Amino acid sequence: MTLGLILAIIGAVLAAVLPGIGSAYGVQIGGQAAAGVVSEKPDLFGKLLVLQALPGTQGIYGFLTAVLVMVRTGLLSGSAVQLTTQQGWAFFAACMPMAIVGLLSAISQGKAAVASIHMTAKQPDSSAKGITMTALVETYAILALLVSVLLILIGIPV
Amino acid sequence: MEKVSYPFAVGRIRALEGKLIDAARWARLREADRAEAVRLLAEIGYGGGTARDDPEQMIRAEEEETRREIAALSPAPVWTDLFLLPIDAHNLKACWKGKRLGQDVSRLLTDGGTVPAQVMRISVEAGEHSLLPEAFQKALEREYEGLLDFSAAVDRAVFEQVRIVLKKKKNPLLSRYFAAQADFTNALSVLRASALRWNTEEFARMLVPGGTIPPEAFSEALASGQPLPALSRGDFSSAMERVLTEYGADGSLTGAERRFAEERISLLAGGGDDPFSIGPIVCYLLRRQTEARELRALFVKKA
Repeated sequence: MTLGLILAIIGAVLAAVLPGIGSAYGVQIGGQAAAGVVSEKPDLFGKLLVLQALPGTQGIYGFLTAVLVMVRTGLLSGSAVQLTTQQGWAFFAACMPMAIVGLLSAISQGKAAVASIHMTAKQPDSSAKGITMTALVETYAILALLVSVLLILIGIPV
Repeated sequence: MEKVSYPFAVGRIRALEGKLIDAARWARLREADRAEAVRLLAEIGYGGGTARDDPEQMIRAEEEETRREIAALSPAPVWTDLFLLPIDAHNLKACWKGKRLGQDVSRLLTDGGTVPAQVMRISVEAGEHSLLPEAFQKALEREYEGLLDFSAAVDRAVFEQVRIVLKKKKNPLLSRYFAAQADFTNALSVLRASALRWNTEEFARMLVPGGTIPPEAFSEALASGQPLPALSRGDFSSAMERVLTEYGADGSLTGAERRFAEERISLLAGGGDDPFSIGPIVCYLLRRQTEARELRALFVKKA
């Protein structure tokens, strides 16, 4: 196994782990806020579940990025490409947008979800507004995912 | 015990805020006669089904329920307990008076303070004060001439206890709130002293510590009979000016008390929107306390 391949694997691991941590935290605080509201207003469970789940998407994007790296480097087919160090760094760098933005945007989205859950507790009819406001944070995770995916699929010759 | 998280506690508080009496219900309560107002309160579940013909009992039940809820869900009881110290102060004064006069004061005690009412009674009767807040213990070490003297010392002890706690566990929002409360309490004492024609010595012992206005400013305000120029200073000068100007116009002590309470709550409003702070929880507690006070005033008018 070459140093290049190891670097690509580290990049894929970070792309899966960091947004995963961010999503777990975002969903956790969203869940705590929703539990607090549902303990008094059980009928709001359905509306709050969507808000709680929103910060979970970054974890999926990170997983997708990691899988793409594994596909491109042949790790899934069992015949791994022996990447040069430069190619390895290139894969590592390509994973970073999703890894970093995924982590931070999931935490931020979790906080926005908490605020929206609290707003929905006071005004149940405004849950759609809360979902829209929380979903806007997602934009930056999607942009980061696009950059990572384009770099992995098109930007790096293997 | 597992610590309650802020998002959970604030989420529950936001749901509970729906129980607060809104402007439309207040309007109906004001228009209704006494019996109708009691029925309206019972209809929205106020007082949790307690004696439906006695508003005072309903208000007390609701206050106790609010304190129980806050105690159960507060992520930082050390801070929310500060807002329950006035209950302890009330119970301590009652127990001390009962001990002095040899009377049973159990029915005057209120549950929901930081020290259970019966523990407070037994502590005072037995002279064993180790379970009481630190500042209360110190206050009980001294000898007092009478109830008024003791009452003033306990009121000071409340603010002293707040200072002790916030020194150990800092919270800028609460420090600012209690500093304002000390200034506003002292300003109210000036207005009361002026209305009741207290002498300067009597007045000086009513002053509580922890404010941002120097104590001599309050004596100066009382002596001059012009509270506004003397008290328009400190960190809360604009709020002080607003309330004292309105007091100058209507001369209502209860009105001034209410306006000072509103100014205090508005100080917490900034922190009241932060779902990761104690702000929304104490804001809710204060709103319930204000609601109870206004309901009492409403039923006094309807009696």
